[in-house]
Amino acid sequence: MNGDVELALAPADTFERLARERTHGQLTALTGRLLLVLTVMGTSVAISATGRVSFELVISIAAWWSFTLMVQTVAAAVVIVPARARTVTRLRAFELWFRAHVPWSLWFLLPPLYYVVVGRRLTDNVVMAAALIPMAWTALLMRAFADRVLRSPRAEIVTVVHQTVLWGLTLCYIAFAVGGWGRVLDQVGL
Amino acid sequence: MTRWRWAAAGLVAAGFAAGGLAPRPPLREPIRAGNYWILAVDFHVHGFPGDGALPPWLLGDEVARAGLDAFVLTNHNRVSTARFARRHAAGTPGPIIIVGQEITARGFHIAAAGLEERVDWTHGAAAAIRAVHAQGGVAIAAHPSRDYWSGYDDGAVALLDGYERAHPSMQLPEDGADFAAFAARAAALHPHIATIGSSDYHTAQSPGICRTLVLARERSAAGVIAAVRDGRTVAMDMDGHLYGKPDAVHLVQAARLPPPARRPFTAGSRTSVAMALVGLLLLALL
Repeated sequence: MNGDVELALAPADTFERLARERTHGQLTALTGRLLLVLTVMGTSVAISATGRVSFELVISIAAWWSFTLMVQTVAAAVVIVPARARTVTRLRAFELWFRAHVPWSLWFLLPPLYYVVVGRRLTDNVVMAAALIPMAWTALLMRAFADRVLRSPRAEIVTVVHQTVLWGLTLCYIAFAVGGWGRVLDQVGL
Repeated sequence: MTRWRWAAAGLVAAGFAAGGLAPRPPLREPIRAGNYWILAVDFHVHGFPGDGALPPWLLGDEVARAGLDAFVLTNHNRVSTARFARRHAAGTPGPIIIVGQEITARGFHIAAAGLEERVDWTHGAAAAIRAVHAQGGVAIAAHPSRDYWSGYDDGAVALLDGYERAHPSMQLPEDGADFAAFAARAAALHPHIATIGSSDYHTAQSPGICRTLVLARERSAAGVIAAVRDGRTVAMDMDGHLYGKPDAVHLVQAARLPPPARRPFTAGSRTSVAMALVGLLLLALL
């Protein structure tokens, strides 16, 4: 089991240990994590959309969809940059936060794996409902991160702020993509 | 990185390399039937940026692999992605790209083809259709099930150039019945209305899984638009069933076109995809 999985399963203890282990960040470690996440996303979307993978396909899709990592970075920056009590550098804080990718990586990889093995796609409704798991899981990881890395006495509030920024920006993109806020409100029954 | 992680990364790279070795299928030979070209067209495709998965240059390749001659890029309430796609593909071999918009409003969605500017969707279906016509385009009722037909009064239906008779959602029994009901209403109000088959491709299935066989006088965007306006189309659903006027259906049947491929994995693509997925899972978890 690697450190990222350990972090996903026991976030508080693992963030605590990692924050004590090293206070300065490593750009290579952060870059490696971001590349892994981009590759996971590009591969999953390529399989879903075309049933194939290739360097051209995955790199093109990952490059275009990298804006989702920008959204993640902005949401993380909103809570990392102003955290005065943290004992690690900003770079180290970003490095540690992007180690919390396991819930979403599994969400991206397991449906295409099912498709390859069984030969049938999971329906959109199942995949969307399954997204509730990484959403809730990641909120728990952020709470532990706020507590043990950012050393915030109000970890719950930090979590709410982070999730609000993250999902607010995501909703803005969804509204852009589906034809406007009216349709988003229609979909949620308002 | 440990030796295991290097091995996992190698597996991912080998999967990508193997997937890239698969030969690209040749462009489809054009089919001639009497005075017409039979062009396979998908009038309802979404791309990125938008709620489609693929950026424009990959879409063209994917559409060609699906055996289509042309497609209309219809992102919701915008034409910028489609215009970019057309500009990017200019002068290169591949399917014809037609600029479109899925005019998306409460009570109606219209797949509009042959646009240059975005159409306002806030003044009702009839006004939107007239705006499409003012640009020289055609307006097609998109997935006309009861969730999407309350915005059409009889006047608006009579203005439509076409309606989606074949669409992946028609496999749901209630939607299938709705599509048939809308077809009867449209035919009563506008006897020459075009029957359209569209994939509504976003992130799964395949472009062209439902498609339109267009009887075009010329192999161009203008030829496709003119054929829809004149009702010279046949819709083909996922099982290869044809919908349209009897004489047009007869012409298409005589051409013996195969039903759309459902894009099953080949042995090669399944192996390369499995290698990449297993490698990534190992990288993420080991």
